[in-house]
Amino acid sequence: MKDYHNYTLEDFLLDDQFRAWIAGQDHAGDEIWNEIAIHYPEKVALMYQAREIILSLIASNSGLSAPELENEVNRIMQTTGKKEIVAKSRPLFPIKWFSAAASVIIFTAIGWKITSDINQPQSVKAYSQYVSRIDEPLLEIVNETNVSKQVKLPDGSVVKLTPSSRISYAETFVRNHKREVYLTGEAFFDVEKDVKNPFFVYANGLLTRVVGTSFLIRAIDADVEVLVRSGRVTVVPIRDIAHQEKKNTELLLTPNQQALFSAKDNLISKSIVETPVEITKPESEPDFVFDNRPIGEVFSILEKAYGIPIIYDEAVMRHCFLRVALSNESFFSKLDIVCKTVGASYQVRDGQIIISGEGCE
Amino acid sequence: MQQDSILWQRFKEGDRVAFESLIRTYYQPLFEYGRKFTSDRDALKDHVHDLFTNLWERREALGQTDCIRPYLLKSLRNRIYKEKQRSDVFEEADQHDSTQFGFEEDEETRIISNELSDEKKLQIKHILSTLTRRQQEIIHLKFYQNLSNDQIAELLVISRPAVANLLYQTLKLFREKWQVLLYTFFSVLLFD
Repeated sequence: MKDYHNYTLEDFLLDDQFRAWIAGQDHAGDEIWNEIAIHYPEKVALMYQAREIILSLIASNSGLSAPELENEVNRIMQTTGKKEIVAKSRPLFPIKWFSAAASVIIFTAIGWKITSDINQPQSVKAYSQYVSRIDEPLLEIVNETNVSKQVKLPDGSVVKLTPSSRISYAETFVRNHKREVYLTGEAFFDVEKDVKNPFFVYANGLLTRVVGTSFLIRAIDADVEVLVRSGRVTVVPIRDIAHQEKKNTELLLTPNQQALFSAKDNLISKSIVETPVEITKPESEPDFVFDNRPIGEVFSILEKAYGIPIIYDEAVMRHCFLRVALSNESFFSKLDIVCKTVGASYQVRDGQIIISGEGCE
Repeated sequence: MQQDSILWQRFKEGDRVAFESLIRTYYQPLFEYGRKFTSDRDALKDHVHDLFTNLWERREALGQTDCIRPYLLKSLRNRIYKEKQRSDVFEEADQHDSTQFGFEEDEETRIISNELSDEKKLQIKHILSTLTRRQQEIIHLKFYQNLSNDQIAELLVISRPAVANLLYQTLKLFREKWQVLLYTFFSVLLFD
């Protein structure tokens, strides 16, 4: 360890590593600086002072608002875009045509975006950062219409793009056994099954991986929502991908579950979609008519039909039998009826249903 | 900085997505820096607009860079100075180390810091506003823009040791002023 014995406030302020740690750019810094604080307890007050000063100096104070920024970005893109059409009218190779076409799409979309995209700077910023890092020609699709737009990807997967949302993907879609899509806005994905080449969606700090499934991603403002219709999906904060062995933050989502990712806190929480849909009709039971059936059987039919795990204490509920005819009620109404009948209640936790009850005598 | 050079290369090849990403990444830092020289927000927006459109027009003639930030900051600085040289009013202001530039202290800040509020942020802002424009600029470049001493030296056209010296002296002054402020604050608490 370096000698911090003679470190002054100025030295802490000018220490690149210290500044990077305070600015949150050095995640390994926690350990290093905590250890320094333990070795040099007399420096802790100085470190706090330095922290306050740094935080206040790295804060923006020009008062540039997000709509102002959007306006200015659009103004620059428009000024340069007009000249661009003239400049591009020289012969191009066929492959370049794609990027020329794509740039026209981007240009018009931005002209239109002034009013509609103003509220989503964070998601748009993240998106353009991901896209800019790809060293490969990309195709960008922007939905400039007022209705959702269906896009067929080269692998046969279908994306329904909500108005003013955009996706990008590489011209050679399958690369290094990956299918990768970048999104800002909202899109419903119906992914073609291909176990060898998993499908990845990057949206505002969250990576969603799938094999073959259908799901909805909403990356409109600071948060990203992933709602699963069928199949299995995993989600992980993009920042945590590199060190998954250390902190396992990857979450598995099954149908009717949803993940809410807060880009600000880099945290994912899991819950159940607002209106779960049946994923399979149970084979033995054409509908939900139960004639004096054990509660375990009822729960397992509901579990299978909606793909939502139901947790309950088998020993306690062993004597509960149910006589009830259910049909088109929503999942939660069915659950309500079942629980009321046997005097139990339920909670939704981590995308699961937890039943608590005192059992039946 | 690998990402910077890929982004720059793609921009030079006429990639509009890379260009937009460049604008989105650097607009705010440029605006923050520009505000240290002018309080006219609209004029500043025009400067940044012209800087980016000019960059796009000349993209094929531009060299390689793996440090976009210092390059853009320098371009903006030159632009604002060129403009100032055309106008005598600005030139005069530039020669004095006038505190009317840079970290402006607005009416609200002054009132609150007079009341000796323990809002550290306002204290810091207040102290900054008492520094010279040069001192404010170097602090901004080091902390907000996170430039290395070499990059600052190149931008301000002074030697590297001069940068290190100016930075250290400025922070020392800053600390002294802060301690005076803290002392006043405590004594008010004790004797009020």
